[in-house]
Amino acid sequence: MTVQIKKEELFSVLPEHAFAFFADTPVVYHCHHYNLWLDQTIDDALGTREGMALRTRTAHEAFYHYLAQLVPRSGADTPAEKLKVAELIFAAMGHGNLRLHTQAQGGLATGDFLHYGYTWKEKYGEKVRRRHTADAVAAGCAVAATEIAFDLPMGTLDVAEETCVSLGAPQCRFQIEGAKQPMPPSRPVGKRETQRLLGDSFSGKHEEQIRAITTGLRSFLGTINSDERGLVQGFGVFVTLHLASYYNGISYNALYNIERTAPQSFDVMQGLLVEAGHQCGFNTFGGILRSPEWEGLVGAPTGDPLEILIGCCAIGRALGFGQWTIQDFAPDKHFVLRTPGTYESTYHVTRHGLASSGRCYLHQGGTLAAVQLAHRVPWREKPTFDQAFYRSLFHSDPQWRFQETHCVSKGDDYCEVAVERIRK
Amino acid sequence: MQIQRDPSCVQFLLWRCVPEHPRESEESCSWIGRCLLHAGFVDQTRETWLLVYEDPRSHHQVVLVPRTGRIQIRVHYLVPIAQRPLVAFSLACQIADFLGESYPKAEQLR
Amino acid sequence: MQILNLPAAAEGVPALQGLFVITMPDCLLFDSYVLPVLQEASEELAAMFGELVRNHRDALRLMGSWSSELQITVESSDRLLLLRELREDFLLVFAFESSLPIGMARLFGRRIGETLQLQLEGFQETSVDGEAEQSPRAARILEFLQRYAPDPHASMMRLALRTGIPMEHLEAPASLSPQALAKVEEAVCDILGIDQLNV
Repeated sequence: MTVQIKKEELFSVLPEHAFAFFADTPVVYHCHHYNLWLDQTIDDALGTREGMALRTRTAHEAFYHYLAQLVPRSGADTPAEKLKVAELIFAAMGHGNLRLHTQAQGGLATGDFLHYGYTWKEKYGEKVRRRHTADAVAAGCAVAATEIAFDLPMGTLDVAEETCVSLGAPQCRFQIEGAKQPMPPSRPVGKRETQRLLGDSFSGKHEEQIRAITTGLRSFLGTINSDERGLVQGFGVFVTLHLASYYNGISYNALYNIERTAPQSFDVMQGLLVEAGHQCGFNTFGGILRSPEWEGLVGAPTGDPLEILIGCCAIGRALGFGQWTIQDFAPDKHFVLRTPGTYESTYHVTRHGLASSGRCYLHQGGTLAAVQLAHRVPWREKPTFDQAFYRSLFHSDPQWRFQETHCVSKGDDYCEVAVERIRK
Repeated sequence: MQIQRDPSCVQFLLWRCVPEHPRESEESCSWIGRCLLHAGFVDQTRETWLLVYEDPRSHHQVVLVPRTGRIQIRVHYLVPIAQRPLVAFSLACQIADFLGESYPKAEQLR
Repeated sequence: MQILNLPAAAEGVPALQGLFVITMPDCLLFDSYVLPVLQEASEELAAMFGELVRNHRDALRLMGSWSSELQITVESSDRLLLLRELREDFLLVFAFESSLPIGMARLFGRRIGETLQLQLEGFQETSVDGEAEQSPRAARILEFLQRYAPDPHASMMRLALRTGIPMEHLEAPASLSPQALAKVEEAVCDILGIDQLNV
């Protein structure tokens, strides 16, 4: 029997809330800048060993729930076919080529061009030496896929990445074996759980323009396929379609761990989570705005701040970040972005209950980045969106401050970030 | 013809060709597209607003934006980094030929 | 307070047209002793020289050289420039007439560098209220991190999270205890992926 993944049947969106799902599992597009920064922040918070353990465990759990939904719909019957489905879907999501040579008791998995290790080497390899493996997501997927393929309960097996391209190895290798410690059971945060929390959607200013661009972008994103490496390289970044539960799981677990064990570091951790969103917004949104695809669909950016913000709202929606709407904008003064929910807040309420303050860090950083793109980038000069440009803008002099004024995570009806110019 | 690294270029993969002489965008893109097909490229266009042509042997691509006349060269990632600028240069010369423009200067390959 | 006495340091050195002391990594002019012809452009020159050394330093780092002192000579038809690092945080630039043999230029450069090094150490000891042993090292480590961290704009936040030391304490390195300094050293090594700090 041939296994088939019918992408168009499995992929769905809630267009009024701009959430995306694959096999009823919340998914979101993110670039390697965001992915690497977020993983790094987890390791900074917990230390490398604990950080890696949390990231692997979270990926294990997220992929287990995901594959449990996906594999039965793929027509796969035998364990070999089920493992093949996992390999195919992992590559199709832009995570690289994973090969699973496993049995019910475990075995070996190998990876080529795995998103995390490969892009870490591309981005940082010439600047710093890495001292630990990078592919917790691939590790989690490998062990989850093996459990699903052999109908094992989650947590039966454990995994360790033994070699990694980020450390100079030619290939990544994972050893999977029987778990020494049981994994606490968990319930997925899927489409149903997400929908249950969503209130009515709403619109904002310039809605027609945003909606039209979003439709075009969504349609275009649907045509993008990964290359032979299992990677998606576009807009000057490496893009992944990723499980929202992974991002949320590692972020909130590490954050609350810090709140318990090192409360003095809570704010700085929040700052680094926001920085992840800022890097995402600046690099990915900037890359899209400068791309031929954008130029063909919308036109070359003229540098008008409103035009950039309209574009950013459309991009945020198309990537699955939420129904980004413009509530208020005065050039060079302030900007208010509101959405009925984010993939962060819906998860937070489901898993962690209500918080005392906003918990949408991607939303905060992304909104700030949108404002920076609108006001600080000389678009007509066609700047290169590289690390040097990023550093030159943000090494000092922030110019703008932000606040998440409302958040579903703290019981509000919507999530809202207000950005304001710092006057000197 | 000028050649410059594209603003979203990573590792010398994306290059922008800027013709010296302005032309009507759609007409120019259409003409370059026909020339590329004649040269053995394959049309991989999915959306009418973005024309994509790929060399089936090397997998390098030329992307054209009819709306603005933008020309982007996408060097295939399997080309070693050190050789990517030269590959882009060679494709830019080919496009310059199509448009009857002078070749770009090699010192623009930075 | 005048920290450096450049005229005294440069006394008796032939063919010297200018001497610039530049703070690194921010490439700002700290002090200068130059002919009038070079005076007006001093600030701009400091920025350019600083950038030049930073680029060479980056290149060396790519080749695996992390702590070696850097010296660059630039020879033009009418001038001989010598750029020489002084600790982690200062750069000395000498502008000589081109007629001066290069060996002599290096000799004078080293001599003046040693003199200025002593003057700068005195400056630090008087400015940190008796914390001379710990605080300069802490400051040097933080500067090293800023210089080599892949994302310097966020490196202090990363360090704060890794060590559990609040940002405001890190911003006053003189106040760090020996235990805190040890944590900082370990975290900087982790962030940069190196085994030990040679600062």
